[in-house]
Amino acid sequence: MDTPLPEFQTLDPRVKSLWRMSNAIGFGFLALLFGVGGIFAGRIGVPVLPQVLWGIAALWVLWCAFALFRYIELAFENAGWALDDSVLWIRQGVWWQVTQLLPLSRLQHIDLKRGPWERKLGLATLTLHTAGTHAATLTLSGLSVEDAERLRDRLVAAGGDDGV
Amino acid sequence: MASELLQGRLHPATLITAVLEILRRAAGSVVPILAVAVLGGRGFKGGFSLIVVGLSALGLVASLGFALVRYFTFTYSIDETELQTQEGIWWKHERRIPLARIQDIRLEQNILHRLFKVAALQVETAGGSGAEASLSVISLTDAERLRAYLFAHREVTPAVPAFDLELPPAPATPELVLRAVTLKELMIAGLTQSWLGTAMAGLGGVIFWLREYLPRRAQSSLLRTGAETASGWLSSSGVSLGLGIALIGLLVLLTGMGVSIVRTILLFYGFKLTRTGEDLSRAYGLLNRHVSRLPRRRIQVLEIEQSPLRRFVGVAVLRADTAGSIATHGKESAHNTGRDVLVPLLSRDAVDALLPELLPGLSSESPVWQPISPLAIRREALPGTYLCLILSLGLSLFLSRIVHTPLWPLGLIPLVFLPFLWLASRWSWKQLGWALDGAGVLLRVRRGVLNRSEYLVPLRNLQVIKVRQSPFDRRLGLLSLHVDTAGQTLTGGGPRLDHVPQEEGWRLVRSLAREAQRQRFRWEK
Repeated sequence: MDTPLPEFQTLDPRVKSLWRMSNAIGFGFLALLFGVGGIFAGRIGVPVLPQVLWGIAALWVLWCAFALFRYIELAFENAGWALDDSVLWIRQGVWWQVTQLLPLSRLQHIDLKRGPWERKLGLATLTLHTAGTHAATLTLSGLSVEDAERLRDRLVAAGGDDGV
Repeated sequence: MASELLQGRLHPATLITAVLEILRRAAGSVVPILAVAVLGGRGFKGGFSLIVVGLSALGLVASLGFALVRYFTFTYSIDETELQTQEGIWWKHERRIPLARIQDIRLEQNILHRLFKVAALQVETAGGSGAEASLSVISLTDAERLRAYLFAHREVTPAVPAFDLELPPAPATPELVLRAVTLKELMIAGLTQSWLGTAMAGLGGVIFWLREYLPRRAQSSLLRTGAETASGWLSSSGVSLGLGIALIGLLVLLTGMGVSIVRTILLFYGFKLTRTGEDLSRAYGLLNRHVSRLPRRRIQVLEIEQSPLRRFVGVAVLRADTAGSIATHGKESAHNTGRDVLVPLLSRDAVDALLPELLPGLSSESPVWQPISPLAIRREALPGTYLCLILSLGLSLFLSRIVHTPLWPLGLIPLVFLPFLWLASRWSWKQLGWALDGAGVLLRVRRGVLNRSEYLVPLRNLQVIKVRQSPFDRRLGLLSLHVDTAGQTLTGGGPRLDHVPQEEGWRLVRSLAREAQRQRFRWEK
């Protein structure tokens, strides 16, 4: 009797810096918004609002500290991929965990994308297209370039016999 | 062998139908407003409506121009490999569709078309959001010739299709009538529709129109005379007000019911589902006649749908998700889900007899339904339970501490919903189930509390399996899975199966994916 789950490969650890960077920008923007909102509210003399906004900003910064270190570790632990008997498994998510299974014969085409941060870190994202509707495209990000290229070639070789 | 070539132009009736269509649209938009403007006299709240009239008139003229250009420039031709269409003066538009890529060929005829013996032929391929090529309109003989040619040159079906609009059929391979829907069945279909909704929508439409376009003075006088007549009638006939309202309600319901029945009959009159070789054909419609044909392997998902009323009567609707698109005429025939109606009504028992015809390779024995663990009840009810608890706690605290009212137990009202929530979760769990048919050809999923549906997904159509686990799921050791197929974007692909125990669930998705990998998915064969 086989085990129901395949062995998952982790992503490239460098992806954590990528996530931290992109999250920090978003988080920082929100914190700034609350902080500036608080200052502004204080200037025009609204009574309780500035304190509330600063409170939110402080909590937000605390949460971000948690997110940037602990949460991203968790996300890294939970993300991964596996190639099992010509089926590609991709999983991600911390609280809501999503796993997608792609039988390779369903693969229509693959994109390999690299954003500026990814280029800097030596990472790449694979986008896998199927003929489906609801979940027609799958993304697997956070692979090292070499891994991504190797995986892409393997997927194409395995799935390429028919598609359409 | 010289390549055969069929070519042609649109039928002159195109122009007549275009003009009449424009007149019909004018009757719908411009004329009523103008009529009200003229008849309503000074009470008419004019300017804006006149602008609308002007704009729609302009639009109508423009569409007449387009129709002319289209008629004079449109040509089509077919050779052994592709269908080509061309149109346009300044912007020339040329389209080539490889014959092997054609999914579905539809013929549609409204009353006018039938008068002139012409039809609109629509050719669909996978992936498009509408008809890929629309020959609207060509003569019926041309349409027949074209269809015969298209089917003859698609390697899958060597047969010349039977085609029963008004021409005598000439089938080469026998045409099997799978299902003919009788008038009685159509009446039942109309009766068991949600005619309450139809009635409300109709009423709402009338009221909206009156409010929008009738002059204020006419509105109030209409209301006044209506009220006076009603009160006069009430006092003279001795019917109480409550009974009067009940009677009006009944009248609206009966009208809705009648409209539903008539609409169903108009749409699906003479419905016939036939099979010629690998192709399924549907023909239906009293005034507007539709004939469409699709290879049966293009059925991506089959849905057996039963509303409570229909379950009570023991009938079901059969819907299909196909890889072609239904956007053009799908709206009327597939109201709610976007799935195309395959058979508008048949008894639940007849469905099982029909299935092997639609999904070849399906075993004839009835499926072995795998029950879902009762943990699913808890999973279904827990989020709502927490919400109710938090809500009642918060409300009670608010009432007792902040408002200081002795009525704080009112805050416990949300708790009343709890038993219903658990009961509904139990019902939903009892209905939930999955089965793998025969040698893993097909996944069946059934779900729903009031509106129940059973989905059949041939594994060769499966594209991606998505497994989701929420924090609740993980605590109880459950997972939810969603199988995605090619086909309609509207319907979201295949069905969802909720709250399967983890161990069993992972085993299921793994074997589904492997089986899907083994069975090749092909657009053509």
